[in-house]
Amino acid sequence: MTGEDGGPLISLEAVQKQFGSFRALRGVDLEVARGEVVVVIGPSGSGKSTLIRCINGLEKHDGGTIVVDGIEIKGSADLAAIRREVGMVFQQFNLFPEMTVLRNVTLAPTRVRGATRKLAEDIARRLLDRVGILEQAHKYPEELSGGQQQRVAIARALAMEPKVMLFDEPTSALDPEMINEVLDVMKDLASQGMTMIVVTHEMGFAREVADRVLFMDGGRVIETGPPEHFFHNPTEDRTKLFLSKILRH
Amino acid sequence: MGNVVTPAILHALLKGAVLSVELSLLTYGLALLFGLVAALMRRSRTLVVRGLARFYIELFRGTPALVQIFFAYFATPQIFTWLNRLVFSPLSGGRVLLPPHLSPFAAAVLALSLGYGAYLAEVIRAGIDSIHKGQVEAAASLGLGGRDIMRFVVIPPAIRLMIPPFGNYALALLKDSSLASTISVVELTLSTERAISYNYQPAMMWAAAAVIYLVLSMVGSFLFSYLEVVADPLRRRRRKPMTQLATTDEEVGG
Repeated sequence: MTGEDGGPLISLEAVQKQFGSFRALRGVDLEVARGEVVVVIGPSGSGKSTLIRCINGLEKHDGGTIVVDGIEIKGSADLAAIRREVGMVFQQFNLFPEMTVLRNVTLAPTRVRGATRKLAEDIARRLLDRVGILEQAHKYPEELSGGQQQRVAIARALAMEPKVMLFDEPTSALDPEMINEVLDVMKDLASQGMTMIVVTHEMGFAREVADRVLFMDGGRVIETGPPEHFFHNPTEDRTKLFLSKILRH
Repeated sequence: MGNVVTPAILHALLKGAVLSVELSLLTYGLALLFGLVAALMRRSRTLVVRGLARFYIELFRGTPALVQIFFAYFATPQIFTWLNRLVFSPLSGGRVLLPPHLSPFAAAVLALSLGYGAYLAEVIRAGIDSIHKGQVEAAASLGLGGRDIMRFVVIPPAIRLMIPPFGNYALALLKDSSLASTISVVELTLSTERAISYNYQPAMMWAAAAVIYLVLSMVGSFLFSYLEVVADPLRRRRRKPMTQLATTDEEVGG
């Protein structure tokens, strides 16, 4: 287990991804340490989502290497091992509509980790309590608001006790008044030492929570640095242009 | 008008109706099986398997049910003779394996179930395809394997979507079962015809037959409406508040 010795938890080297003739990732290098919170920003089509989707193999990268917790993503066997360690939260929540909130959270622990129903439900109740929706445990996803659904999705991912959590624009599909309840849960996670990679347009969150901000454009990492440097003294012109567009008001 | 509706005529009509129901149920069961196999074959990675499924579906959707029934009943004796002579007899040392012909009932079941299987295959395929890709990705990202994803994430909501078209085809099949009368299966339509030749009351008898078909259709229709409720977790709970509350309490307590 090379990942246990204080080396990076996630390490990407020259990762490439192509969709037909479109080059979504043109050689991305990235190292994420244990407990680090990396926020990825950039214009749409810049490769942000593709980048994190490659980290748990939802997209298969075409070149370079991806190592998560000492396991390199190559075949499907590695993928199964990696997906047990990597949680993911999606823009559209993607809860299972036929299952109660509680079952959404217990499904993977019982089927993948072999937990008993009792143990899985105890864990699920603790997590639902932590994200503030324990009283909704027996409702179905469509009975919940978007913010509540996204918090269930976070609890569902946490139930697998992942070493890293990936967030793919977790608040982009939410009504404005629900964004904060989700960001608060994410802040709480970060403060408890969870390793996180967050694709988001929430600059306030990036400023407050990120250890490091990564700016991507055209399938490349243009600039990376701690948020204070990133937002106040960006060095690259493309970063300045992007920030001027989104921070104007 | 004294002997218009004798007990014998009533008995014949009811017997015909029972046979119509039996024919329809057996046919529908087989059609579901053929449909499921063809739908799975259409999702195969192998081109030949996909092609076979496609060929089956197009062939049976593209030809009239009546032609299929005539083929199953009138063409099979000739084909069975050839197969016995050319294939089975040489292979088995002179034994004749295929029967000389199919019974009318068997021919009707075979033709209608293959025909409806082709339609149901498309219903099943469309149901599976309509499941949001995001839910499959979410399940995969949780580490669930392909089989678990199918079993827990894809199939339950897909079945819910398939129930209304399943119901449509079940009713259509009940009515198409009357085509079996053309190859002398004494189901409701043929028993009506025969009854009329005794009492010479076509208006009343065909109206009676229509009413019986209608009643059977409505039973089927209610059954599928009920299945829709059962398959929908939210509606199920509203209809059965007491049982749902009971299980909820138990789970919270445990």
